[in-house]
Amino acid sequence: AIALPGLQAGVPLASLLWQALPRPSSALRRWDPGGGVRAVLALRAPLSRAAGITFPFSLSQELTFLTKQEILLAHKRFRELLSKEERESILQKRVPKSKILTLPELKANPFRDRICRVFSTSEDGDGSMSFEDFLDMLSVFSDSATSEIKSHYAFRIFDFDDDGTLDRKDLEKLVNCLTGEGDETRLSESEMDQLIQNILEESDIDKDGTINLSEFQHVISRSPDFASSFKIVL
Amino acid sequence: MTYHYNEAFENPDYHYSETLEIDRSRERNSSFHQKLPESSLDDDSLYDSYEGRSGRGQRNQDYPMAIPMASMQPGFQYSHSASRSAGPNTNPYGNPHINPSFEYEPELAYTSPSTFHAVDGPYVRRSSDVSDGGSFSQRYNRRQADLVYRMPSSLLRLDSNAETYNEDKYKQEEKLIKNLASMSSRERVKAIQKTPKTMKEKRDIRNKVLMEKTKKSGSSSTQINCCTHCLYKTALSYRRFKNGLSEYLHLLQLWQKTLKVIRGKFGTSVLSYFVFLKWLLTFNIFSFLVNFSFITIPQLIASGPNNLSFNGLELLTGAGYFKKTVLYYGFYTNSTITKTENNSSYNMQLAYIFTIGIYFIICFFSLVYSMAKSFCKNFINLQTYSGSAAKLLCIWDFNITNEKAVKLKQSNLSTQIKESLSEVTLEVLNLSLKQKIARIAIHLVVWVASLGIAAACCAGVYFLSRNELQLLEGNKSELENEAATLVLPIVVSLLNLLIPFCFALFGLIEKFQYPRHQLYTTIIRNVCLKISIIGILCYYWLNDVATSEKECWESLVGQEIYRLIVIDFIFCLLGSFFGEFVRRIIGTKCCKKLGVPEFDIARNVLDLIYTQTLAWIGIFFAPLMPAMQIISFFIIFYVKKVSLMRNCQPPRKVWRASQMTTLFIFLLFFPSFTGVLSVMAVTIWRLTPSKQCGPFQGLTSIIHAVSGWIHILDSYSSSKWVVWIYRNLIGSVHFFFILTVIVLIITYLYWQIIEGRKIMVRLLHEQIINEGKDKMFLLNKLRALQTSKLDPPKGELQERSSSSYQPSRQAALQMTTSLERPFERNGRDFYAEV
Repeated sequence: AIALPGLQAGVPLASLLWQALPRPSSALRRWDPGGGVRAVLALRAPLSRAAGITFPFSLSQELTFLTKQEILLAHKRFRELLSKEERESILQKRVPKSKILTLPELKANPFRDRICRVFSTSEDGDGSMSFEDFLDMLSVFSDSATSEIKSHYAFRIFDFDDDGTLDRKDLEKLVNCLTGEGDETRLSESEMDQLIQNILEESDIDKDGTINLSEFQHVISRSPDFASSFKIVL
Repeated sequence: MTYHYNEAFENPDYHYSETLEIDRSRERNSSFHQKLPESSLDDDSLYDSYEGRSGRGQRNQDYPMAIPMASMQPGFQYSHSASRSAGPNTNPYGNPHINPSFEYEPELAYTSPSTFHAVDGPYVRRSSDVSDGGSFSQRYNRRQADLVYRMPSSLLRLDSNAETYNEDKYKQEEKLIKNLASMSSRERVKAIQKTPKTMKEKRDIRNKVLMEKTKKSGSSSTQINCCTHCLYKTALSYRRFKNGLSEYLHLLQLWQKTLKVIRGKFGTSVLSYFVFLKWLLTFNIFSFLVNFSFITIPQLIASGPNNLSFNGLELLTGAGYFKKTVLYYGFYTNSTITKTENNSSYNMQLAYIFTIGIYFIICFFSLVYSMAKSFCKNFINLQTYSGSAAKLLCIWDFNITNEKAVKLKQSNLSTQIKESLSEVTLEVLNLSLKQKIARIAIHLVVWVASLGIAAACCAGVYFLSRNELQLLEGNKSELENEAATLVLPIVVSLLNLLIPFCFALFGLIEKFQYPRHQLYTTIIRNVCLKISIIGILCYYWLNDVATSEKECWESLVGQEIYRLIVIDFIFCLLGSFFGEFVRRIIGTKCCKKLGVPEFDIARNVLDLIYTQTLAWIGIFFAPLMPAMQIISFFIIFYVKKVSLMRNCQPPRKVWRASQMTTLFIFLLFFPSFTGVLSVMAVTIWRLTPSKQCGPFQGLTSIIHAVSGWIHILDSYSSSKWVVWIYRNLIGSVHFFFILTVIVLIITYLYWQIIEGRKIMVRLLHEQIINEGKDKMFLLNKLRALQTSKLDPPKGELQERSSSSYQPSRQAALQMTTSLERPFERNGRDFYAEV
C-alpha cells in the first residue's frame, strides 16, 4: 500500500510509530494467553490509518484490472463525493446512489440505475456504493478488462429483474433505455414486438424464449465494438 | 444455506475468530481486535446465529434455491452474484463492508510492512498464513457439513438434491482454489481478475488460494534461505521499477484528456479517427528519432555552413535555403565521417541505406502485426453474423457522457430501429428483372464514370508535371520560378478535395441495399483516386525526373513531396474551415434544412492515409520528412478537435468502428505501404543516383553500396558470416523461392484447418439447438410432474412465508439452471473451438 496524497499530514510520525510497534509472530498470536499481543494489534490499527496506509493498493491492483494511477484517481474522485468529515474513513463509508449519479461519467447514462444496482453490495438494495464497489465498477469498465467479464456484467446490467435471463420484459426495458423515453423516440407497441421478436430469433439459440448469459456472450463475441464501447473512464 | 451466506465465514476477516459474529450481533461497533486471535471454535454461537436468522431467511427463499446450481461453475456465477442485489440480503451479520473496525485488518495487522510494497505477497504472507492453514481447512469442512444441515427445512423437503448441489458447489469451489493454487502467481492473478465477483469475494478466493499454497509447500519453506531471498529481492525491485516506469509512461500518454472529451461527446466512432491519427503520429515520431539519430546527427557533425539566403516562401516550396540543409538527400555526404584520430569512422552510405531499410522493415512488421491482430479480433466469424437486431444488445456506447449527446444518440438509435424495421418489410418485395438490370446498369455506369474521372485526373497531373519541368527551364526570376513549382501541388490537392465530393454525388444516384455497401464503394473509389494520383506522380519522378540528368534529382523529388505535403496540410485546414465551419453557419443560419454537418470519418481517415503514403515515399529523398509530418499531424489534431467540438454532430449512422479501423489499417498496408516499398525497391535497385550530390554519388545504383561493403568484408576473416548471410540468404534467389514455397504450404494448411473448423462450428451449432430442444422437453415433463406432486405442501409453505413462494416454479427454475449447464459447457467449448 502507499500513502495517499490527500492524507499526507502526520505521515512520517505515524508511520514511524507504526513500524516501531512490535509485530507479533503468528505463533505468538496463537498462544497469547494474556491478550497483550491483541492489545498491540488494536493499537496498531488506528495508527496505520493515521499513517495513510488505509488501503491495500497492491491487493486491489491485483484483484482488479486497474493500474495504480487509476486507483488513485478513483480514490480522489470518490473522496470528492464524501463530505469533509466522512473523508477520514473513506473505506467504510457508503455513498448513496443519488450522489454516485452526480458523477459526470454516469449522469447521462440511461443505464445508470442498473449500474449502481449491479455493482452495489449494499444489503438493502438502495444502490449505494462503497469504495470497493466503486473500484469493482471501474475495473469492469476499464480498458484492460477482458471482453468476457465485460459481457458478463453487461448482461447483469440489462437483466432488469435480476432473474438471470433476459426475457421479453427485460428486452423491452432495454430498448426503451436505448431509444429514450420521449414520446417521439419511443417505439410503438407493434414495432417493439417485432423488434424483440427479431432479437430473440437471432440470439436465442436454444429457443426457450429468453436469452441466457452464454447466448448473450455469443452475440457479444461477434460484435467486436462491444469491448471498446462498454467502457467508462474517469 | 447459500454460498452467499457462508461466504462471510470464509472471509479472511473472520478466519481468526469464529466467535466474532455474536460479538457483532451484540455490539456492532465494539473493537474487533480484542477478539481477533481467538482460535477456539465456538460452534454453538454459530448455530445460534443460524437459528436466529432462519425465520428471516424464509422470505427470500425464492432465489437462494436457484443459486447453488448456477454458481457451481466458476465461470458462470451469475445468479449467485445477482442475488447480492436481488433483494434484502439475508446475511444476519450485516455486510462486512460496512463494519468499520476490521475491514482490512488481516491485511494490515498480520503481514510485515514490506507487503505494502510487494505487489503480490505470497512470500511475505507465508509466515502468517502457514499457521492458519490447518485450522482453516478444518473449519472449512465443518462448515460444509453444517451448512447442509442448517438448510431451512422447507428447502430440504422440496428437493433432496439441494444437499448434493451444495456439496457439489463446495467441491467445485475447492477445485477452483486448487486449480488456482497450482498456477503460477501471474496466471493466478489474471484468473482471479477475470472472475466476475465482487472485490470482497475475489479477495477471499485469493486468500484461500494462498493458504492452499502454503499448506502444500509445507513448513520447510517458511525458512527462507539466502538464495531465494535474493531472488525475491530482485523480483521485488524489478516489479517496483516496472511500476515506476508505467507511472511515467502513463504521464507520457498524449491527449488522454482530449480523447476522453471526444469520446464522451461523439462516441467511439469519431474517436477512432483520432486514435488512428495518434497511431500514425507515433509511427512518425519513431521514424523521426531513427532518422535523426542515425543519419542527421553524424551529418550535422561533418557539415559546413549554409550560405543560402532565407525568404519566407521556402516554407511553402521547400526549395532555396532548404536545399543545403539536412532536410534533403542531396546534402548528405558520401564520405566516411571521422571525428577522432583512432580508426572509428562512420560510413554515411551504409548508415543511410541501413537506417532507412531497417525502418521500413520495422514498419512492415508492425503494420502486419497490427493488421493481423485487428483482423483476428474484428473479422472472426463475420460470415455467420447475419442479423442486426441482436446487435442492439451491445449497441450502447457507455463512453458517451454528454447529456445532449445521449439524447441525440437515443433519437438516432430510435430512427435507425424504425428504419430497419420498415426495411425488413421492404426487402420482402422482390425487385423485378427489369429493375434489377436497371440497378446493375446504374452501378456500372457510375463505376465507369468514377474510374474515368480518376484516370483523367492522373493524365492531367502527369502532363502538368511534365510541363512544369519545362516551365522551370524558362528564364524567369527565381522567385517566380519557385512560385511556379506550387502549381502542381495545388492542383493535386484541389483534385483530392473536389473529386470525393463528386463521388459522394454519385451516391445519390446509386441505390444500395445496405448503407454499408455505399460506404465501402465510396471508400474504394476514393482510394483508387488517391493512390492512382500518387502512382502517376511516382512514375513521373522515377521515369522523368530521375533520368533527366538534372543536378541532384533526389533533392528535387524531395522538394516536390515536401510541397505536396505542405499544400495538402493547408488544404486540410481550409477543408475543415469551409467544410465544417462555413457549412455549420449555412446549416444553422441560412438553410435550416441542412442542419449541423456530420464528421466524415472515412474522408478524413483517407486523407491521413494519403499524406502518410507521401511521407513514406519522401523518407528516402528527405530523411527529415517525418518531422514535418509530426508537426502537421499535431496541428491537424487540434484543428480537427476544435472544429469537431464547435461545428459537428456525431454521425447518425452506426459506424462499426473496429471493423472500419481494420479496413483502414489494411488500406494503409496494402496499396499505400506496399506501393511505397515498390517505389523504394525501384529507386534502390534500378535507378542511377545523381553524380554530384548525395551519399551515393558515383555509384551505378544504390544497392552497390551494400555489395561493395560486402566485398570489403570478404577480406576480413572474422566477418565471414555476414558475407555468407548476404550471399546465401539475402542475395540468393533460391532462398526466397524456398521461403515462398514454405509460406504457401503453411497458408494452405491453415486454410484447410479453417475449413474444418467451419464445419465443426456448424455441427456444434446444430448440437446446441438440439440440446435446447431437449431442455425444453425435459422442463415441460418436470413441470407437469411437479405440479402434480407438490401441490399439498404448497399451502403450508405459504403460511410460513408471506411472500409469493411457489415451490414448483422454484424447482423448475432450479432444474432450468442445472439443465443449462450442459448447454453452457457446450457453449464454452464452442467458443474455445472457434
